Amino acid sequence: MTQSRVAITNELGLHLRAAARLVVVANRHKAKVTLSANGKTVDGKSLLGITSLLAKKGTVVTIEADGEDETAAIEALAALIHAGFSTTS
Amino acid sequence: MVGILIATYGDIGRSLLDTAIDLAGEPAPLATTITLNDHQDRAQEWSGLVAAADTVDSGDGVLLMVDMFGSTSSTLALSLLADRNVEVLTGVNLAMVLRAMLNRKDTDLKTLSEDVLQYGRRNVTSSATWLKSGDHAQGND
Repeated sequence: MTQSRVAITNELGLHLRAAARLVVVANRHKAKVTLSANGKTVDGKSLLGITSLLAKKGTVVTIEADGEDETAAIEALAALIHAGFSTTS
Repeated sequence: MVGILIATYGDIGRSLLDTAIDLAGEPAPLATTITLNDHQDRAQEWSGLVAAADTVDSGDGVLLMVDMFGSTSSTLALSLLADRNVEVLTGVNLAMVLRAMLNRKDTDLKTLSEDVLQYGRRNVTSSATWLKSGDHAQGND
């Protein structure tokens, strides 16, 4: 299992657009992905789950991935958050 | 991959699909929309719907989402069931379109249809419900 802690940098936090883009990137990987923040852990491939974290700008989110491509998944998801969700690559 | 077709009065379907694509941040292949207004010629509407369904069917079938049960779209959509691999859902909303786009890669038409139906229903809620300890707060999906 691989883990990374990333602070949300965009103004609106983990709103619907950001969550949708996280799901798109998470779905590109086989690894099971979870996101944790504010004392809650949710499925990283779940739109409702991610938005329910209510993670605002500055909130530190812990991303965990478990599976054959877990490292690539973590890197891609962390890069997306760092970029303020402006890209899905 | 299952195709997505949204059939509605006016531009509702187009707006829903465009918005879902914008939110997801990536294009949606095998997805299109059609406007079916009841002042159009019925034969023309029918052939337009058939053509649209064929456009997005790569062999895995089509999830056809329409605005309301009883609308022109739903009436025509039900006729498609007879000779095409189509599942029809009524009451299309943004959550359903997004769910269908994000979850259709490794699933079959029947499974996707049921999943999108349940997801759409769960997204029709009230603040009084989801601010309590409902599924949203639990992060379930």
